[in-house]
Amino acid sequence: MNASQPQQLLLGFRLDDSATLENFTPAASDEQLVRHLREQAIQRGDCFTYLWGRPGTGKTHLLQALCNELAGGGASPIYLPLSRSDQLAPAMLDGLEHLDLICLDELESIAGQEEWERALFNFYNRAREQQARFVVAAATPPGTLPVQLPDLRSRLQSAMVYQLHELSDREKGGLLRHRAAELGIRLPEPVVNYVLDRHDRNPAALMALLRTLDRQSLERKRRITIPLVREIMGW
Amino acid sequence: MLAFNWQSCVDTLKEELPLQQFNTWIRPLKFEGTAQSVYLIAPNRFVRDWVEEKYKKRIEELLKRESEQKHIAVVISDQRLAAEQATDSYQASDGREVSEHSGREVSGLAVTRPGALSRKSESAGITAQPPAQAAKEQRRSSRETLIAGKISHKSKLNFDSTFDNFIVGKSNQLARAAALQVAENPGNAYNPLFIYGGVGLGKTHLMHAIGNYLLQRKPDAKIVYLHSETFVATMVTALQLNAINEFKRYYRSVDALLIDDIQFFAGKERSQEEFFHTFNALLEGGQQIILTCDRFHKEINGLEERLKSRFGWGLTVAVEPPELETRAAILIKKANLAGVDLPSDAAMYIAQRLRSNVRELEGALKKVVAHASFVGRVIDLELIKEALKDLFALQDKMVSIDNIQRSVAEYYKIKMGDMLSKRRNRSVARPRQVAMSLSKELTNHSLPEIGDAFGGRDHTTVLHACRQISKLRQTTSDIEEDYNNLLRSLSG
Repeated sequence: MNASQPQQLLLGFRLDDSATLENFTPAASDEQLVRHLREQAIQRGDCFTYLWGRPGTGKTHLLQALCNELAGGGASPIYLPLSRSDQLAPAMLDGLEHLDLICLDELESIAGQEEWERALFNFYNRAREQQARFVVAAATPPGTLPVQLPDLRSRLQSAMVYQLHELSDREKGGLLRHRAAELGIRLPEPVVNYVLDRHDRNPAALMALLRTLDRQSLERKRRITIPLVREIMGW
Repeated sequence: MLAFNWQSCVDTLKEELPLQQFNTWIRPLKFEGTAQSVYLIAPNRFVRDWVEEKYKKRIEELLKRESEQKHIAVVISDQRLAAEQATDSYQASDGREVSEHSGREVSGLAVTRPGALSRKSESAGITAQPPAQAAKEQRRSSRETLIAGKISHKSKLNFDSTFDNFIVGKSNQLARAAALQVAENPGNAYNPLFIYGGVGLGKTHLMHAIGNYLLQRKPDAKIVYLHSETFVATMVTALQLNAINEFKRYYRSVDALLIDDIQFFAGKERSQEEFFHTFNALLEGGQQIILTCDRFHKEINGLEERLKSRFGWGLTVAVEPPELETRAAILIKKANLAGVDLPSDAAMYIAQRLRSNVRELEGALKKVVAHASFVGRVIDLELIKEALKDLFALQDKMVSIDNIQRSVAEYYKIKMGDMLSKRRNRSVARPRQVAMSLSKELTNHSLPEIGDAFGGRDHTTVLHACRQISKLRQTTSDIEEDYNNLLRSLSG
């Protein structure tokens, strides 16, 4: 990109990056999970789901999507990323069982922290008593999460445990095309293959790339082609 | 009108904030509005303080922009209505004692009731904190409500846990028999009943079963079940609200007190003191006490000696991990309760693979049932393999011979090299035999392969080791315990 070239200001333009269950592209083996989550968002009564998978498999997207899905009906859900536990306090879990849905992300971040584990254990007991609906996500399954409190570990094991699988390269191509179409971006097949051969194929990185390409193509008033991608990315 | 304004305020905030922040701080707020006031109820103090500090100003701006009103009072409070929830919602998650909490907590209670604040906040214009007088009033009214009897607990018994649906096996038959004895003769010889054992083995189920049995025989009996941390939390709140006498009266008036996981009393001296007196009063009054714990009472660190010894005054029973047949029976029973037919070979298959605790069995069963409904097929072995393939694949990965050798070496504090060495003295030979036997039980490797992995031994050595360990497990309780511990840690 030429720095001296004046860039068009794109005021008011914003990619719709709201996470929904619809715009989540599951790996073929994860379709059942998405249906389960959709049911969990709608149905009443207690339900405890544990999602796990490697980074980039869509755990955060799904939890955010569940919050969005539920909030549409006027309910009060919460999404809590526990990787921010340094800014939060275990008291953050107090009273959450009264909300309509509780989504706790990045559980592995608090594993081994005694106060947090105890708070989570207490939260679990209260949530079951209140028949609350909650979903937790972590990098590993409950049996291998480095949790010190055995009482907490066994409770995590009582969940409906689902693994989120990584998308295959074909599925990642599909994800790029699907998301591009959703955002009204024309992304020719050769460009998809070109990108997949050269870029980090983590879905989040691919989505970020898509946003970059879209922004640049608007600024430069050029269609997205392999030469443009090469130019922007310096490949 | 304000409800509409709040919705558009939410929409704007959604645009302005990263989705993550929005879902963490704005989504959980519950809206309550009057003509001129907006109450945003946060789930707890932490969220309340955060929203107060970071977003309140912007919320006010947006609401004023959306409304014709010049003054809108935005009060952000938390939903722990002190009087209603003081007895059961506050958890002393950090385990500190009362005095460290009290100041903070009382101020938290003071802003929990929007109704009580409305007059003050409206007259004061935009304010987030009630004037001191309102706080005092609120505190007083909380205490009065408590003293007036609001500290009452519901029994909180889980009516689904009964003796009828408790599956009996070798591992828990003694505990069940003792529990039934207590249920039939409460407050007599077996007081307290102390049930101990690992997590997820049915201690709490038995405790609830006794409570339900007592209620069935005497429907007006005052049976109180609570987790030990709730006892601590309730006491903390009672102390803060100067309602400790009411607290004492309440717990000393029960027919049976069921306290779960009393190991969490460890290190909480003031709670132990209070519980000690409650315990004595109940025992003297012939009221039944039932306690569960994750270990034998003498082994609870951080518990006063006088409590430890009292816990052993009645009857102490252990719940052991269920054996294969019991695990399968538990699965079949739970499937029946869920209205699902689980063939016995399928139940045996799951039970063989999952050994760590009953909760894990439950989780697996739920997954199988969901999968059956998703694919529209009946539950059989094939379907179970499909439904649980991730779980089993992971287990297979975890349970390699190498992994078993490492775990056993660590357990017995010997070197990994000793597993493979030719040394034959008992301190290394016995752990090696345990590891061989576990490899045979937990992996699909053949005996020659296992022999190879243990420093190139013959398959007959492996066979001998397996037979030897099997015999020792019948006759030596230490070996049996070691073996079971390793089995559970490796397959958990």
